[in-house]
Amino acid sequence: MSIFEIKEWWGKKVGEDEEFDTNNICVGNVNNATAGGNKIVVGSFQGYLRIFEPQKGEYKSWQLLIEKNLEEGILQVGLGIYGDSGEMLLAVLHSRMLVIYAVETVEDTTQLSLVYRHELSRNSFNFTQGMFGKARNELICVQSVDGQLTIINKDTVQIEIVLPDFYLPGPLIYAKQSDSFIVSNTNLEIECYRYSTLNMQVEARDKRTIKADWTCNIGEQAFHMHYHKNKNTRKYDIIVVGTQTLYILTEGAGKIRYQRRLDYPPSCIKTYHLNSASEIYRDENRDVDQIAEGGANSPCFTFLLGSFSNYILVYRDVQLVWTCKTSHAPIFVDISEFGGTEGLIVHFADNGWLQISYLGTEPPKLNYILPESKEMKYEEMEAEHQRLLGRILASEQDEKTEPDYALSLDYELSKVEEADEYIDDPDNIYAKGDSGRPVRIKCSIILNYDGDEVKNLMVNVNVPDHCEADKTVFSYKILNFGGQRDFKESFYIYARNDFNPVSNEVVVSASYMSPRSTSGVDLRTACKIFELPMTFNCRIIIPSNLKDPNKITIITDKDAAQINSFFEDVIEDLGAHSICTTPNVMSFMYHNNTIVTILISKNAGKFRVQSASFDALGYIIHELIKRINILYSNDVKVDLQDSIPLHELFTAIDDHFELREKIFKSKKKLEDRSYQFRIVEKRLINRFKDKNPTPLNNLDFLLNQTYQDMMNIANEIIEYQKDLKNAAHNLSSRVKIIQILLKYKFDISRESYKLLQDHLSADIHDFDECGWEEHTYAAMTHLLKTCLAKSSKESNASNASIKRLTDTAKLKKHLTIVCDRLARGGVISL
Amino acid sequence: MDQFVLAMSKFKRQKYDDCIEICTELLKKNEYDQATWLLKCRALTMKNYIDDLEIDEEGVADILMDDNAMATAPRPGTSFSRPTSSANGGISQNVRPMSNSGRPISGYMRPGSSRMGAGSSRGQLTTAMKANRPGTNRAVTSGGRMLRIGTASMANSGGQFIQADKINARNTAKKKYMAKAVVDYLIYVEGNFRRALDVASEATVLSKYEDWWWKERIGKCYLKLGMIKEAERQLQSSIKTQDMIVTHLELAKVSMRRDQALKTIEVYQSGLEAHPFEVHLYTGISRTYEFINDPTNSNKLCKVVLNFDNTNVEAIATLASYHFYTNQPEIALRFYRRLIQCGVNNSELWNNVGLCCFYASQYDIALPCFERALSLADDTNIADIWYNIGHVAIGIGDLGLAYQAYKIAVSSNPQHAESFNNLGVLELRKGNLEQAKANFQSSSTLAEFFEPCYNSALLLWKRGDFQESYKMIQKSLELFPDHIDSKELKKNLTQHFAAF
Repeated sequence: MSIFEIKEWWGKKVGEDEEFDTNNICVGNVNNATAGGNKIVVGSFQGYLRIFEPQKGEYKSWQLLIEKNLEEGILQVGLGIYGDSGEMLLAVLHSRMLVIYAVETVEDTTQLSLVYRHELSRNSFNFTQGMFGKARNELICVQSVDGQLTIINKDTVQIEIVLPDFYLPGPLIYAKQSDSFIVSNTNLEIECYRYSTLNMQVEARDKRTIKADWTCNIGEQAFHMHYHKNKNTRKYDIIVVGTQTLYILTEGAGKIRYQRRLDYPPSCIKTYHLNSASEIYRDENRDVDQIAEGGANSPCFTFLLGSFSNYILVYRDVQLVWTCKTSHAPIFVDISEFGGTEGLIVHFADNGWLQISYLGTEPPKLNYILPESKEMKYEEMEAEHQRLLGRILASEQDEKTEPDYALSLDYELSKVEEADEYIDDPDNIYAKGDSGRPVRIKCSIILNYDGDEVKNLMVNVNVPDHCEADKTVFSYKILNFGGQRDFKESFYIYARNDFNPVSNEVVVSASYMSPRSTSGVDLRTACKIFELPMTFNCRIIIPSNLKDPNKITIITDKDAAQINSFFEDVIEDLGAHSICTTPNVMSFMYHNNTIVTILISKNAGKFRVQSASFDALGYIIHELIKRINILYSNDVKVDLQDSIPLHELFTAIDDHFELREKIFKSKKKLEDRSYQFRIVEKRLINRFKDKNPTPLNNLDFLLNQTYQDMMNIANEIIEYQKDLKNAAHNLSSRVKIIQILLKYKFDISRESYKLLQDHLSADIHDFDECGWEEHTYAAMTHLLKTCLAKSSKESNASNASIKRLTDTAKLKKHLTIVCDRLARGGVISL
Repeated sequence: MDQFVLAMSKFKRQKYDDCIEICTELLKKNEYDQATWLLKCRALTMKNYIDDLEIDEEGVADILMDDNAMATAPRPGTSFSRPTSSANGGISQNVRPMSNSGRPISGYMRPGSSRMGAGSSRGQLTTAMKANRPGTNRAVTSGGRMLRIGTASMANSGGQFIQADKINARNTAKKKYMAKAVVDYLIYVEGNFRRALDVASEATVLSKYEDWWWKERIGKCYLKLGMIKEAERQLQSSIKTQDMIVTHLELAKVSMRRDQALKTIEVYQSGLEAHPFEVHLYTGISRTYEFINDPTNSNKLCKVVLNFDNTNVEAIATLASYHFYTNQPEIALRFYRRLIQCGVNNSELWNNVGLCCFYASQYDIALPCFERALSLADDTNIADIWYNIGHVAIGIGDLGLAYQAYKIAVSSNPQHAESFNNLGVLELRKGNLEQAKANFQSSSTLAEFFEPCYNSALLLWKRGDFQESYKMIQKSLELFPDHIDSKELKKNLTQHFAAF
C-alpha cells in the first residue's frame, strides 16, 4: 500500500494459463515499419507467439498484430539482423529447433514468413547473438542443456563445441569488445571463452578440453547477465545478478569491479544511461572526472532491478533513487519508447502480465481510513461514553443483578453397597466389603433449572483423598431443560483402603452459560457441598483395646448419655445392634484397618476419642461433635480438656518439610549434574573437532558416570514425590484435627472459624519454591501482625513477598504464638 | 518442452516446490541424472535458505555457556553485554525503557537485540525458557533457527535427499561441480555443520586454498560450531584470496560473538575500504553502535545508509525512535510518515505515530492513529498499545480512561509489567495503598526495569517499612545505578538506619 506505486500506461494479460521466462520477450521494431515504433514480441512455453503494438490507454484488440500457435514450446525470442538484407528478423528458439522469421505488415495484416530453420541435435536452453569474429551480420550462438555451444551463421552451422564439466545451463552473453562468450558454470563461477579460441580448436580438431580465457568466482548461482557499454567510463561492463548480489565484472580480466548485496531476491535487471550527465554519485571524496578515467569502484550507470517481492527499484550509480510496487513480480524489465514517449518501463510477469508503466506517486488510498470513522455527533458520543462509564461503574461496585434463572444443584445418595459387577482394581486400592467386592456408594446429582436451556455446562466432582469417583467431569454443549425441570447424573464413589478419612466433603461445582433475558449470556456457577455417610467410611466393631496412646477428651455441659443414641442411624444402617452392647464404648474401623474408639463417661457428658494413630482421630471427632450438636439441638457447650496437640502437628510438618527439602536438594544436584554433563559434552566435542585430537583423559568415562548419576537422581526424586504425597496427607489430617480442636477449645465463632480454615489450610499444594509451609508461615505472620497483634503498634500489615523457608523453627514458633493469642481471647477477623 | 529446461526456469523464478516436483519425477526415470540431481539439491537448498548473515540467533545453551568473550571485565563502551556503561552519552534509562542488561526495550527489533545479557534473569536455566507469554515462544535451540527449519522441511521433501552420515567427504569434494551444492545443502537444509565442514575442508585442499568460497563456508561452519578462532582465520584468509562483502559480514559476526564491539566496527570499516558504498556494512556499523548505546554515531551511519538506500526501514525506524526519545516528536513523526509512505502498515507503526502526534500536541490525530493501531493489533502487541493509550489518557488528564486502558492491557497480557507499574501509580492516587503496593510488587517481579522498584520503595518508605524499602531501592539501583532519586532515597534510608 505504498504511495510509490507504478502507474500503468498500457497493460495486457497475455494468454491464459501460459508460462513465460525472462528470455521469452523482446522489444523492437520487429516488422521493420518505416514509421518506426517499438513492438513487443512474446512467446510462451505453451508455444504461442504474439506481437503487440501498444498505445497509450486501454488495450484494444487491433494492437495485437499477430497471434500464432507454433505448436512447440518457445524458449527464447530474439531480434537481430541475421541476414544480408539488413532487415530486422525474428529468431525463435524451440527445444530442438531454431527458426528465423521475417515479420511483414501489409495493410494492417501482419504475417510471419519463414526465412530459415535449423534442426538442433541437442535440447537447447538459450541463445545469444552478435557479430562474432567481426562478421557483417548477426550470428546466433545456441547453448544446449548439456553445454554444447552451436554457432549458426545464416543457414549454416559454423561451430559445435562442448564446454567442459557442464551440468546446469545458465545465462549466456556475447561480449563484443573481446569477442568472447560468457557463461556461468556449476562451480558458481563466471567463465569467458574467446570466439577465436573456440574457432581454432574446432578447426584444428583439437580433442582436448577447451580452456576458459578467464574465470571469476562469484560464489553464487548467476541468474542474469548483461553486457553494458558504459558511457561514463567508456568501457564495457559485464553485469551479473546472482541470488542475492549484483556484480559488475570487467570485460578484459573478469575481475569484480563492484558488488552490491541486495536485501531482496532480484528477479531481473536493466541497465541504461540517462541523457543528462549527472549519473555518478558525488561526495567530497569523489572526483567525477577521475572516475571516468578508470578505476571506477561504482557502477557509473543507472539500472532498474526487479524483485520477487514485487518491487521495481531504480538505482542511479550507488544510490537507490526510487522504489515502486508492482502488482506481480516482474521477471523482465526494459526501458523503451512507445507512442513517442521515451523512457517507459516495460515489465513482464511470468504469469503473463505485460505492462508498460511510468513512475509516479499515488495519494494514500481510502482503505487507510477505517470504515467506522464517520463523522460522529458530539452529543451521541458523550451519551455513549456516559452509558459505558455507567456500566463500568456498576460492575466495579459489584452490584450485579442476578439473572432471572439460575441452575441449582442437589444430590441423592444411595445406601452403601458392594459392587455387583467386576471392578478393575490392579493396584488393589479399593476397600473391599465382606464379600470381597469394592465398597461403593451411588451418588446422583440433580440439576435443576427454571429456564429453557443452558450452554457449555460443565459439572466437576471433587472427592476427598480417601475415595475415588468413577466419573468426575460431566460436560454438555447444550442442555435443554424445556419440559422437565430437572436432570439427573449418577456416578459411583469407591472407598480406598490406604488413607484415613480426613475431609468427608464431596464438592460438586458446575459452570455454565445462561442466556440473559435481554441478550447475551452470563457465565454462572453453582456449587453444592455434601458429606458422605459415616457408614461409607467406617464400620463398627467390637471394642477390644481401650488403652490407645492418642486420645482427645471432649467435655459437654450435659449429663451422661448412651453412646448408641448418638450413632443410632449408623448402627441401623450397618445392622450392628449385636455388636453395640456396651453403653459407653464404641469402636470404629476405617477401611485402612485403623481403629478409633469412643468412650463415654458414666457420670458426666464427657467423651474420649482414642486411637493408635493420631491422624485417625479427626474424622470421628468431627462426626461425634456433629452428632452431639444434633442430639442436643445445638443447645450444648462443647469444650476440650487437653491442650492443643501441637507436637503432633509439628512432627507432621517436619516430615513433610524434610521431604520437600530432599526433593529440592536432589533437584539442585540434578541441575549440577546436568550442567556438568553439558560441560563434559562440550569438551568432548571440542576434542573431536580438533585436527590432532588429544587423548580423551577418561572424559568418556566421566560422561557416562554423570549420565548414570543424573538418572539415579531423577529416580530418587520420583520416589520422594510419592512419599511427599503421603506426608501431605498426614499433615492435612493433623491440620484438620487442630482446626477442630482450636474451634471448640477457644470457642471460635463460625465466621472466625472460616477465616482460620483459610489461614491454616488443610489443602496442601506443593511447589518447589512455595509450599504449604511458606503459605502458612506468611498467613501466621499476617495474623500476628493484624488481628492478633499484641498492640496497635505491632499491627502493621505489609505484604512481604513469600520466600522459601530454610527451616521450620520460625513457622512452629508462630503457630504456637497464634494458639497462645487465641487462648488469650484473640479473635480472628478481617 | 524439455522438462529439465522447465525445471531450470522454475528454479530461476523461485518456484522451488514445482522445480523439486519436476526433478523428483525426472529422477524417478533416471536415477543417475547428475544435472537433475544437482538442480534438485540446489532447489531444496534455496527453498530452505535463510539469510544467516542477518538472522543469527544463538541458542540458549550457547549463551549460557558463552565463554568466547575476550574480556571478562570490558572497559566502558566496548562491550555488547554492558551497554549501560557507555561512555558516549546514550539516551538515559530515565527516558527510554531498558532491560537490566541495558538494552533498550523499545525501538527497531533486530536479530540479536533480544539477546540476553549477563545477569539477566534469562541467564539461568530455570528461567531461560520463559518467554513473554507462556507457551507461545520457545527459546532457540542450539544450532539456531537453521536446525528447526531443516527438520520442518524434511517432512515435505519426503525423506532425506542426502544421507549426511553416509557422505564420503573426500569423494564428494573431488566432484568439484557437486561439492558446493552439497555443502550448501548440508548447511541450509540439514543444519549439519560438522559434515559440511568435513567436505569443505577436503575441497579447500583440492582447490589449493585458492577458492575464497570454500574458506568462507569453512569459516561459517566453524562459527556455527563455536570455534571462533578457526573461523576468524579462515575468513581472513578468504578475504585475502578474494575480497567479498559476504565474508566481511561473516567476519564481523565473529568479533561480535567475542564481544568486541570496537573490533566489529573495525572489520566493517575495512570492508568499506574495499566496497565503499555497501549499505550492509554501514548498517552493520550502525547496529554495533546502537548495541553499545552510542546513538550519536549510530544515527550518523543511519543517515549514510539512507543516502544510499532511501527506503531502508531499519534506518528510518532507528532515526525515528532516536528523535522521539530525544524529545523531538515532530521530527520523529516525519520519519514515521516516511515509513507509512513506503508501505509499512502495522499496528506498531500506527502506535508510534499516535504517540508522536500526542507529544507534538496534535491530539486530534493521535487518537485515530491509536484506533488504527488497535484495529491492526493482535495478541502479541495489543497490550502495548493499550498501555500507550493509557499514557495518552494520563497526559490529557482522563485518569478513568487511563485506568481502564491499563486494566485492558494487563488483562490481555498478564505479564505486562509497565502497565502494572502505572496501575500502581493510579491506585496510589485513588488512595488504595494496598492495591498500589500489590501492583508495584507484581510489576517489579515481572520486569527488568527500575521504575516499579523505585515506586514501591518510595511507598514503603512513606509508610515506614524501612527494611522492605531498602531492599527495593537496592534492586532499583542495581537496574539503574545512576538514578538520582533512588540514590537520594537510599541516602535517607541509611541515615534513618544510622539514627536507630
